[in-house]
Amino acid sequence: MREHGGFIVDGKQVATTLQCPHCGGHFVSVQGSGKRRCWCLKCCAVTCGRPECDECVPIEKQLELIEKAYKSAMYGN
Amino acid sequence: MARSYSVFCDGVAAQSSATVPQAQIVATTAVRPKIYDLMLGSASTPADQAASWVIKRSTTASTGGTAVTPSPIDPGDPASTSTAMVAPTMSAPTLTVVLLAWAQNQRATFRWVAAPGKELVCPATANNGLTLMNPTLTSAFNISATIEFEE
Repeated sequence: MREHGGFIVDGKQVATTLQCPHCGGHFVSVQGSGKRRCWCLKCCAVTCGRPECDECVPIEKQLELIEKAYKSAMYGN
Repeated sequence: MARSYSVFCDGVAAQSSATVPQAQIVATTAVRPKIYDLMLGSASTPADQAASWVIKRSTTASTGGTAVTPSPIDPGDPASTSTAMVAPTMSAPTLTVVLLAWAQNQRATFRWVAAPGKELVCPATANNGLTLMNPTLTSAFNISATIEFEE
């Protein structure tokens, strides 16, 4: 899987990160870590594993919902 | 095309707080700031101290800190629409989801870089932001940090 980000310590890359397609957060995926991760069939990507991210609401959609809610509250449309 | 900006703070005491931020980038309704590069180290006398760091979404803007004007990476670009603030004396914002977390030793220089299109994104909503937090710290030391974002 192609990396979405990288941790660099003292000039050396020590870990790679993946981005959750639902919350947009980055996490380090370690094989065999036992941490809960999920695979979203719609996004074809690994989620961060938080229960809130189990439902498929892509980050782009979430951002739009936040922006829409704000505009609705401010301008009533 | 997105424009890139840099926020820099030097010699600022690590905050050691789960509620009060170290730094914050705040969006407006016009732009979505996207963090793509983050560097953090310390110029204090070297010592074996540990700290944990997180970047969280925030839905309110902090007040009272030191306002930092984001510097355009391209000097031909206009001033950024997003605003930035660094510690100390920042008020606690409303924090939500963790977007990035790591721990580092004071002696280490840490950098996180996002692949293109995989940045930490903040909605284009007033007072929403991306907030750097320092929840735990074994002993006080100063940090120097650079956060680069595009909008």
